[in-house]
Order: sequence, then C-alpha cells, then structure tokens
Amino acid sequence: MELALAIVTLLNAAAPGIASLIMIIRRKDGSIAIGTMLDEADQAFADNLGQAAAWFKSHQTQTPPPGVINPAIAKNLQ
Amino acid sequence: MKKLAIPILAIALTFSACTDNQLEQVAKSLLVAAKSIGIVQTTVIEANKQGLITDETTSLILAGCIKANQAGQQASAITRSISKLDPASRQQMIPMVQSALGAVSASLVIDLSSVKNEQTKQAVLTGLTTAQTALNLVLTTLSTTGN
Repeated sequence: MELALAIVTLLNAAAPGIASLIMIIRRKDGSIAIGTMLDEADQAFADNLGQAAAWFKSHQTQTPPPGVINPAIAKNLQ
Repeated sequence: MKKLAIPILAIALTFSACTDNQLEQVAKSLLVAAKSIGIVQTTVIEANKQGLITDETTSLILAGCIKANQAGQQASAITRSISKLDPASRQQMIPMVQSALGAVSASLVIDLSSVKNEQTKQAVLTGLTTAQTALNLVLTTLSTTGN
C-alpha cells in the first residue's frame, strides 16, 4: 500500500495524467480508496479545527478549556 | 514513460489489493465522524450568530469538537502509516478513538435546554450521535481481530 502510494506520488510528479488514472482505478476497485478517504477526513478535521479556532478568536471572552487547543491553534488565536 | 506506465500500473493495483478491509472501515468511519463533527460545528456557530444558542453553550460544544477533531487527526495519521491493522497499531489507535468518542459523548450530555430553536437542537444532537456511532464503529473494528 505504501509502495503503491509512493509510486503514485512519483508518477504524479513525472506524469500527472497517469497518476490520475491510477487514482480513478483505485476508486473503482474500491479496495484502496483508503488514502482518498483519509485525505478527505484529514481535510475535514483540519477545517473543523480552523473553524472552531476562528470562533474562539472572535469570542475572546470564551476561553477554551485548558489543554483543548493545540499549539498551532493557540498561535492562530493570538 | 508509456512503456513504464503499464507495469507500474499493475504493481500499484497489486499492492492496492493487499489492503485490509478493517482498515478501510476505519478510514470510512473516521471520514463520517469528521464530516458529522463539521456539521455540528457549523450548526452551533450559525445558531450562535443568530442568537439561538448562547456563547457558553457554543463554547462547550466547540471545545468537545476540538478534542474529537484532534484525536481523529491522530487516528487518521496512524491509519495512513499502516497497511494492515496489526495488534500494535490497534493498541496505538484505541486510546485516540476512545478520546474522540469521550469528547463527543460528553458533548451529547451538554444541557441544550437554553437552545430555543428545536431544529438547531435536533441538528446538533443528530450530528453528535452520527459522529458517536461512527467512532463506536471504529472502536469495534479495532477491538475485533481478523480481516
């Protein structure tokens, strides 16, 4: 799986069209859509964290509980 | 490049067939959890803008969502780094998923009686329940050995 993804990454640099073809086949095959799903999940988690950070930033009277905000978000809140 | 493309394609597909069904289930459930938490956040923030939900309640729900998002990100990072759910990776992921589940479950018992709009209340509860179900599924998958 890792090797397959590494190959796709390399191909993406060398020939984007072929890498896209592989990704399409991956989705149709159904068995290696894991990377795609994790990409989407990661993006959604990151978007959620950004959205929550923005709300806390605009509502400075509301202090998030200690330990809830990670350093990256804390920096964003300043 | 064309001559190389077919063998490389074959190799990629061969490796792709070696994935773990349980891993796929975990990835799918993490995605559902992430999307559901996003719906909850958007709902409470929009309701807060309209004055339908207090800053205090919004803060509590968002704090729970942040915890769940962070734990979800960690679980996703581990899932990405493995090709099969072996005992070691299961043990590594279980605490993170439990943490996310705990945060979502805690948000579900937040007093929403101050939320006057029933639609908002239901949307929050539905989103949190969906996230809870998805994370429970991840936990069950991680606790079940086999493929």
